[in-house]
Amino acid sequence: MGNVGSSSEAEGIFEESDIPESEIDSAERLKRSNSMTEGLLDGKEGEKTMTKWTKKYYQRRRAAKQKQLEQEKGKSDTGRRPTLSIGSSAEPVHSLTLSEKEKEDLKSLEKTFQKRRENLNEILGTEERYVKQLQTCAQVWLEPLRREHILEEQHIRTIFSIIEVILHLHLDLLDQLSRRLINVTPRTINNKDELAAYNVASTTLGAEIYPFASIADIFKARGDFLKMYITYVNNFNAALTCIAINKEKDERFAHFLKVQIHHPESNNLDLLSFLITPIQRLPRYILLLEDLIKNTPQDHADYVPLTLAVEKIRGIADHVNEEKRVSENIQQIMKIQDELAGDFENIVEPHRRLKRTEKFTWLNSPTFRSMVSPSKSVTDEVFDDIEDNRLAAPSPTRDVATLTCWVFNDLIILATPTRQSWTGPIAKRYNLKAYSHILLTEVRDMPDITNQKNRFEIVTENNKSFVVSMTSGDAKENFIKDFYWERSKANNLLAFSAADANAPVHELREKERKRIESKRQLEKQDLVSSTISNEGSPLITPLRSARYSGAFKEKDSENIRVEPQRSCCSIV
Amino acid sequence: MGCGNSQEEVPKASAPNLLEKADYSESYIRNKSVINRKLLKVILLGDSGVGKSSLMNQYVHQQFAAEYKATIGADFLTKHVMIDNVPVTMQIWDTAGQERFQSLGVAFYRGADCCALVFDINSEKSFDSVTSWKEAQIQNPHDFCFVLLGNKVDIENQRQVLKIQRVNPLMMSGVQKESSQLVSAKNGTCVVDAFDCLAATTLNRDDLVS
Repeated sequence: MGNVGSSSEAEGIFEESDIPESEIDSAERLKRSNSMTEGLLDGKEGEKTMTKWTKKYYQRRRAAKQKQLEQEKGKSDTGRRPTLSIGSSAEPVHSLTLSEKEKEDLKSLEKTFQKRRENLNEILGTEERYVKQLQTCAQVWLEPLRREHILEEQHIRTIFSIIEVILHLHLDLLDQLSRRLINVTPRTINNKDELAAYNVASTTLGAEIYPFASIADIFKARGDFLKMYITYVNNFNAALTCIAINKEKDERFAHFLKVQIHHPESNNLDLLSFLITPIQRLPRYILLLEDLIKNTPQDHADYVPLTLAVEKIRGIADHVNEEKRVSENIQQIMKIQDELAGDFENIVEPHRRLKRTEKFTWLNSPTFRSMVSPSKSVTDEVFDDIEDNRLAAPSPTRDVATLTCWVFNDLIILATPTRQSWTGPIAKRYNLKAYSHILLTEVRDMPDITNQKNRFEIVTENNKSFVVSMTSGDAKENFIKDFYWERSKANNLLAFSAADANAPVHELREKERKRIESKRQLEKQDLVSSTISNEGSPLITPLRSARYSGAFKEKDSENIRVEPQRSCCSIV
Repeated sequence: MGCGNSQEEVPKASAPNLLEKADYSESYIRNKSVINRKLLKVILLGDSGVGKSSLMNQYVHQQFAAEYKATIGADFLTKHVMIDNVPVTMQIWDTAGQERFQSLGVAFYRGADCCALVFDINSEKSFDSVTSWKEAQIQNPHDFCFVLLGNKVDIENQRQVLKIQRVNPLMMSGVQKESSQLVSAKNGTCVVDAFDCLAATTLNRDDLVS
């Protein structure tokens, strides 16, 4: 058990939590952790040391309390916050006399620190495993692909994204953690043998973790770097697609994927399992640190920094999650844009979010009505059917009665599915029927009639009327409610001044109509001018380039958003 | 997707032997029986605190950690089982910690064969969330086999969600009713049964699909 008992050494250990990392001399720290691990190598001795340490901690706490009481009595020196370091002139451990209650306190404190040691052990252990997985991913999957030129570098980058950067971040994190908690550094690892030796050392020492250590600063300092997970997470879908495409067309790659599963390091896991690990890891720091806080006494120097560190990581995880959600939403909008045929402006806009996709039965569709009653009179409706003439005439069995509706935060689009026989560069799956600003759109409930239940009417900005029905009354109510919720939010965003907020709705609508019209006018000019300027590459019209412009900043309107149908999923 | 993972094959002799020189060639494939095993990827979903990690631990290690419970435990655990005389490797993935982060989850669920929706029978709320877990998290629900597991059946007296039967009408389509069970990760009630049943259902379903 060495010299841990000598008071000067023990003093040093206790003060570590009170001194900022930078102020501790590294040699001194090394000495400390050496003495610490030495003292703990034997299990029984370790228990004794644990008890002694806890006693010491308790003693300090008592001294600090006393000091505080004195201060309060004398009301002198009121500005100073009592910390554990104040009672540095504490009496020797053995002479400590305790009352029954204090003994109980001491016992529970010891238990807390034992649990804290387990927490720290888990943090370190899972970090080690995580780094190992990332290393395996790089060595078993990434490097052979690159070395053997199985894939083009560009594809490799799409699949693995910044996984190597993430690996380096976590190597550093692991290094710092192990220095602080045990005196083993993974930095010295150069080859397999050393890695094996390190693994053995770290697992045997794993139980000898210093239970009082402060680690919040390590996480806090690296908090901002965790933001690079955004890049990784947002790239993930592209990575999956890239793997699928290459697997399909490249036999060599497909073979590689199969073979590497049985690599001894792979542990029978496929590439996907390795790629997913970073996505799993980030939210888990929150759980780990939260549990550590539970077992950190409030007067411990690390208590407040830990809560701050958790908040920081939680913020980053939320941010990553939000970015991912936004990027997925934009991808959905891009897909709609690609699949929609008809005369419309660009629907991919930085601020635009898809809120709802719905399929209706279209009751006043010309074809639908002609199916019900073949009289000609119904076809002279206000509809100007923009369906392409090249397409075959509707057959009686065709399901023309379906109307797809997309509700955005500022827009509503109605479309019908196209017939199968479309040929073109991108399969157009929908024909545009209506494109209407949400504030200029009305949704009106309609009473049931004998063979048409749960119906309602959508009136667009050009006063076209779409009578549609949904499968159930609940679905209808839900849709109407959601629609008006989106509309009211759009309206609130529109009401710039107090006067606007009180203005009658029709005035606002008029104002908005003018604004939209002038905007469309501008965009038309824009379109014309830029098509001219882009003559060399006619594909890059503003329609396309808008995707890549703007970093989708519109956060404010997003934050107000409350999604009733999803709320119960976000458990805190 | 779906059964894609379960159909590993020994690379055919006709496959281009470009990788022969490198040390990651077929020499690693030592045991054919391991390779011919079907692999089932199962994910556990549910509110935080319903006992997803504990269920996994109970099934694979027959342990319940009452003393010190690891915060996250393993990312996944595997167990080799025989289902209807077919050797199957169950790979059970834990989603602990991801409850708050829906968008992260979506990526995670790709490539899974089966999804066990876990709730706490003492918490009505955790049962109510099950529907939203299923709908919000999974983009193509038809690709998945769903089962419902009601955990913490050992705590009898304060039971809120009484029986799965009672709440059956609430259940959404696509959940395999016959393999949904009440289990206890603490004393192991029905845990092995539930997972075996889940594996069998998934395999049957895959067979039907293919």
